[in-house]
Order: sequence, then structure tokens, then C-alpha cells
Amino acid sequence: MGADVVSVEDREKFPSEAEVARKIKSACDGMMLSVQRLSRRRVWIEMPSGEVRAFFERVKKLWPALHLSTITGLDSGSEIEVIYHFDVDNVLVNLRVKLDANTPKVDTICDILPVSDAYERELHDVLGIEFAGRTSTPRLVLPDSWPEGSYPLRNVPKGDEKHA
Amino acid sequence: MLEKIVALSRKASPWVAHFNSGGCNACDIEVMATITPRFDVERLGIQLKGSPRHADILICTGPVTGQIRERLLRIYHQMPQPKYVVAVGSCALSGGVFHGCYNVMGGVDQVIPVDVYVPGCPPRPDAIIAGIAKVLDKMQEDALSKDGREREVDHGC
Amino acid sequence: MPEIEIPVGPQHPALKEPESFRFEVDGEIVKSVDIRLGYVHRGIEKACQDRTWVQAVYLIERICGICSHSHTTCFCQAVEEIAGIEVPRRARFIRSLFGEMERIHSHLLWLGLAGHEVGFDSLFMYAWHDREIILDALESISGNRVNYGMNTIGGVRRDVTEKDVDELGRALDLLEERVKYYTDVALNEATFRSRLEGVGKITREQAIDLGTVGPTARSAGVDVDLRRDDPYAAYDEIPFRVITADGGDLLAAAVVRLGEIEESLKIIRYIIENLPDGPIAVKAPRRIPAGEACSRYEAPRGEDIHYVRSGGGDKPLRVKVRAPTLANINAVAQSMRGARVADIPIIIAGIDPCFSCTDRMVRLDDVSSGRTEVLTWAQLSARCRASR
Repeated sequence: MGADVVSVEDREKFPSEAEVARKIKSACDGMMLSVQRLSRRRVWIEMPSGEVRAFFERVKKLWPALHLSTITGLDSGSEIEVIYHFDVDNVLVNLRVKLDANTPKVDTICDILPVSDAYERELHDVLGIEFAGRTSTPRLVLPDSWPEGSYPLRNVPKGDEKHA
Repeated sequence: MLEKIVALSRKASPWVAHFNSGGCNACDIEVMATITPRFDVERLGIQLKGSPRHADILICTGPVTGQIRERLLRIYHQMPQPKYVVAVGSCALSGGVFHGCYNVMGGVDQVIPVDVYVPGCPPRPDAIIAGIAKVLDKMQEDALSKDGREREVDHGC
Repeated sequence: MPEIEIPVGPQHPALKEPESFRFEVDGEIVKSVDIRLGYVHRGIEKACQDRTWVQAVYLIERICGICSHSHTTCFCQAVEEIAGIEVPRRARFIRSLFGEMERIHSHLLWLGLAGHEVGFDSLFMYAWHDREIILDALESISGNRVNYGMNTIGGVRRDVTEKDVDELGRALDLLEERVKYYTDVALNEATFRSRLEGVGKITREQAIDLGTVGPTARSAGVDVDLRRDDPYAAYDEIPFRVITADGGDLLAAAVVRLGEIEESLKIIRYIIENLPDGPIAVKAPRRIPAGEACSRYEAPRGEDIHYVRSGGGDKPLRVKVRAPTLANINAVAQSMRGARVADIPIIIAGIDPCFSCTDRMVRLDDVSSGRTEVLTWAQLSARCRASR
């Protein structure tokens, strides 16, 4: 039961963030992928929204034990950003895609990574992002009585902000 | 006469139901702590019960969220008369730190009538016990008063 | 035999928090489970955008009363990374100290509730009685039993004095002895063992596929612990063991959590013996420069992750929180299939759920075909009617 005491040397054996970024780049050869910056145990990358599925298919093949931590969505005014946070080799990779603010739509990755189900539904609730390829996107966090088409985390709410 | 005796004896052993109406768990673990050995409300004849249908006192923790509102009303209606409500924690009192959040009603008394308010974030178990003791006084008053106590909220669920 | 639906929650004696489960049972065996969360959704992420950076810390603390220190540490770390603030070494040690004290109180709470759910109320009373020891220590240092208010951007708000260290030392002696006793109970007490062994089982592969985190993953043999894998606070200087077990059932979960309490006690000893001198906080600017950061923390229940973006103002542009229970709830749905009705409460309690952090999801596992579909409750009941 239990691994041995962790020493400082053990930690240095972890692959560096640069190594992880290089591996991702070579796996996604031919995709419009740009590594934005590296910080301590973090990699920030960006790509066009159309290639998300292909990206996760390849990365999952490379690291079968990939752990999707969460998906963040945010309304930055002119566009809606979706950031996938996932852990490979103890490095947290943050993949950013930008969507059109009027019709935010991106392909689902539910069938590749089943955990994303809850995260996608939450984003659909609070930001109104459409995930193409899902049969349905039922409510997750908002109450049943919440008005359709109103998204609390949008900067300029499309519906009536005040909840009855 | 018999009714008076029943009403007075209710005070000797009130049963309490606990409902989290959207709180952060802090008050809930303090409510749970009141039944554990250090604080031990059972020595006052108070028992924590699972079903609101058996309860005399409802302890509510949390600011009441949009989704929980209807359930809170339903639970309140399921309690037998006379019923008493204790709101535990700052957010059950007024919404507290969650005041102004889009999915928060802002206090238990926005939905059902409240008898005793216990402030604190979270209140200590001692304070919760003091709050329940206040309800017991109220129970006695109501039992001794002429027309007892009958009360129901108008807006149905 | 027609299948019967059993609703559990949102108010139910076995659940201390409002969440609603609908079980479809065939005799004594659970066929599928449908979970509706969202009862505790308060809209904290949105509310953070209307608070200043310092106010947001106190709001974040109240995401959850049990892992309050986890959430604030995670948030403060993200903000400090954006602002480029170097937290003093003493403050990092105090953060780890509180993190471990919180882990002990949370795991003892779990042990008590697990005892309660299997009808072993003596264990519940004993565990919660001893939990008061650590709560007293937390109270004497921070002034609060539950929401400690220790963290601030740039460090911690209260120092640990010599007297606190002495008191803590005595509390540790007492707890060490008690934890040995609980480990003995969990491993050898026949009734407790037989209620947990083989119940709520998930395999290592399932644990990885379902994205489980924390003790739930470690009890299925997945060797993850962010304190080691992505060190924060003072964990890069503290030696400790990561406890794993390979049963994947609730007995393994109990073994992992008890092992972690023991390990936490050792970490606390190490911290109070090696507590460095120096300031406990640096002053943080009122306006945080524009930028974004993502911070992770090993909460008592597993990986807690906060994403923070600043636009350069005195308020956050976006704060995103993913609490560990949301990642672990899939494991509940998985291990519920084929379980007995009597085991429902303990399986739910098994992941140490914390729905105030979490809030979410409806899921249907189709046992016969092995497919997993996501349906609304209305669709599900329509389907049930059609199949009769």
C-alpha cells in the first residue's frame, strides 16, 4: 500500500512543459496549432475551433490516460472563448478556441472523453454554447424554471436577466 | 385541556428536521455537530429526524436557490401543525455573502415564515442550540396562549 | 418483473445536502440511476465579477464549508501567478499546514458519515468527537471552526505562534493514537468491513476513463496526487507518501482516507518543526495586471481547479471553478449499477460528495446494451412508460 516518500529528485524526473508542448506539436502535425506560452507546469495553446475533435483524437491516442480537468467558457465581448484544461504527464495543457459571439458553436468531444459531458452541459447552461454532435444538452446547473435563451455569464444578457 | 397538555409536552421532546436550502455545507456540518458528543442536543430531548412529516422544528441553512425554492415550500407544507422554523447562518437570514446572486432568493424568510434567526458564518453549535432553546420558549408561550397556533403560508407550491 | 423507480432526495435522511437521485430498481438490484444536481447553484462565478479581488476571496471561501481553505488557496495562487507576487516562505508553510488540518477534519467527517450510513452510529459519534480536537486547533489559530479566513492574496492573514505550535503538538499526539484505533476498526471490525467490501467498486481503467480524482481515484489504484505531481504552497519541500490501494471498493476508500490522515499528521509535524521565520504576507496591488492563470489544488476530495482572468481592473473578468465532486460523480453512477438498494446511501457517501461545490448532471446507464446515454428526466420517464 502506498508509494515511497517523494523526494525532490523524483519530481525532477517529470517531463518538462517544453517536452510536452513539443510532443503535442509533433502529434498534431498539419494542424493550425500555436503554442502561446509556457509557465511552470502549464502549456497554453490555441487553435481554430474546427479542429478540436481531431486534436483530442490524436492527443488521446498519444496519452491514453489523459485527464480532462474541466472546460472553461468566457465571454470576452467580441467573441466567446472556450478553454479545455487537461493533464498529461503532470503538465496542465490549456487549449483555447475562439467562437463567434452570436452563434457560438463547437464540436462535442463527449464520445472521445465521456467526462466532458457535464462540462459541456454547464457551458451550454451559462453561456449558450452549442455543442454540435450531441443528441441533447439538458440543464445541469440552472433551475428548471430558468427562462430559455437567457445566459447568466454572457456580458450582455440576451434575455431578461432578472429571474422571476 | 388535553390539547394544552399535548402542547406543553411537545416542548419536552421536540423533533427537528434539517434541510439544506442551498447553503455551503458549513452550517450543515455545524448542525450535525450539535448531535455529536461534544454538544449533544439529545440530552435536551431533541432528536434530529429524517422526515419533515415527523418534525416540530425545521432547521434551514442556506440562502434558498431557485431550484430549491419549491422543495422548501413542499417540505414546509408536509410538516404537521404547529410548525416552527429556525434559519441558521448569515445567508439563511438575508442571503449573506450571496446577496444579489442571480439564482438566490436571499433568505429563508422570503419563502416561508421564520421564528428564530441564528446569525454567524457559520454559527457555532452552541449558538444553534441557543436558537433551538429560543424556539422551545416560543412553543411554551404558544401552548399557554388562548388560541394556540395555526399558521400556513398562502402562496402554494 | 416491472422495474420500479425510487426517488431519493432532495431532502432525505441519508443525504445531508440537497440533490436528487432517481433509482430504477429490479427487485433489490439498482438498474440505473438518474441524478439531478443544481439545487445548490448560487451563481458564485458570476458574483465574483461584481466583487473586488479581495472580496472575491471571501466569496470563494463560501463555495464550500468543508473545503473552504482549498478553494481560497487555489484562487489566491491563480491571482498571485497573474500578478507575479512571490508569497513568503512562511506563508506557504502555513497554507500547507491549514490544508492538512482541513484534510484531517474532512476525512474524519467522512469516516463518521460512512459509519452512520452503514448503521454503525458509534463510529459516527467517536469520529466526530475526535474531529473536535482538530477543530479546536483550527479555531485557536484562525478564530473560526469552519470558514477560517486565513488566505489573502499575497499570503496568509494570521500567524502561527509558539503557543499554537505547542497546542497543536499535543493535539497531534492525541489524534495519532485515535487514528490508529480507527484504522484497526476499519480493517478488523467484521460488520463495518462486510458493509464496505466489494461495494461501490470501480476498476482502475474505469477510474481513469471516468476522470475520477482524489481518494476515489487513489482507492482504485490510480497514483495521482497534485501535492506531488503539481506542487504548490510548501509541498515541494515536504516529504510525504501518496497513499493508494487497489480494491476500488469502499473499503479501499476508507483505507486510503485513514492512511491520508496518518500522512497528514506527519506532514503537520514536519511543518511545525521546520516552520521558517519571516513575514506572512506581502502587499498585493488593488488592481491585478491583465492576464490569466490556472491553478490546481489537491483538496480532501481531489483535484480542485480554478481558472482566473484579469482585465487589469480591480475586479476579476472571469473566475471558473471546478470542484472535485463533479469529476467523481460519474463514478457513483458507474458503481451504482448492480448495487443493492440498501447500499445506495453508502455508495453516494463513498466519494465524499460535496454538492455545494458541484451541482449538476443527469445520466442514464443502459445496462442491457452497455450504452451510455444522456437524457432528461422527461425523456427518461417517457421511455419508462413506453417499455411497460
